[in-house]
Amino acid sequence: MHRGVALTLSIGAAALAVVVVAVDLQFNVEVSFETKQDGEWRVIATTVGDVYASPRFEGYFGCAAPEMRIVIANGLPWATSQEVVVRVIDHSSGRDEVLVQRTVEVAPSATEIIPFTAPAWATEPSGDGKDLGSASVDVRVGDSYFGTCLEAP
Amino acid sequence: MKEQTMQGALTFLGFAISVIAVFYFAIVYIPKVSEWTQLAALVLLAISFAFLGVFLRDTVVGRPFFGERLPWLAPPYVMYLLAIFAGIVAEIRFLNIDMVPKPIKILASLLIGVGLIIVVAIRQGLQQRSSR
Repeated sequence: MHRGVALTLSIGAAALAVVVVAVDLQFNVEVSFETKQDGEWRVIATTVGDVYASPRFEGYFGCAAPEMRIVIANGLPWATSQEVVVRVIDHSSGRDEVLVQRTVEVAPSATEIIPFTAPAWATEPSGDGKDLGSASVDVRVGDSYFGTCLEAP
Repeated sequence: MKEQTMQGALTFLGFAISVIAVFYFAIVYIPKVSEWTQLAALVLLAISFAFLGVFLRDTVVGRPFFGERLPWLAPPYVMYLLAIFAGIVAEIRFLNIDMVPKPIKILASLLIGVGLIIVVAIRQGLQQRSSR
């Protein structure tokens, strides 16, 4: 293979990789749940990667303090403004109760914070190990939607 | 220290810094993007490393960093190894994508793997014939 062709292909592939990652980051919105422990905010669940493609939360409500908050961060400085709808639904006691429902417009490189109080079951120790309750989290970013479920340990 | 060794050491340092920069980029930004973007970026990086190795092979920079002492430690081989590493990580990432059914993952992996072997074998065969 001619060296010039090899160099062109190499630089082209590297540049394309950077462009692909940059375009994805452009639409990156990160949503995380935090709880206050010992006076410090600690992340207990967060979106991993782009909410459009890999929407999932990792973590539990269990052992959380009553004081909680949802933090929505909008990507990089050149990202576009995003409308984010967040709903936290408590499924304990057999009925769905909306704990939080908020719509926020998050500006590029800005962060929005939605404080809320955790349900009682989320802050009680599990004791005999039985499930105390569960809550699902629905997040809609623009026209894209995802939901997930957080369960007490 | 011979002048040639000094040049080799500096070139090696340059390569090491560049590779660290690529790894830093991967650690900082790759986890933040979607799984398909991660896969695409890894495949493109593998292609980039492989062709960079091809380009460097016949250049002055492509000689072993430390001459006869470590003949295998040459820029092209480092690039090929990085390409293989990126390819393996891309395959692992592909197998961990939840939305793709497991039979499709296995079938696609086998097709790509066997396809690569066949393509290399055919190319080698053609080269041997033309050299006779």
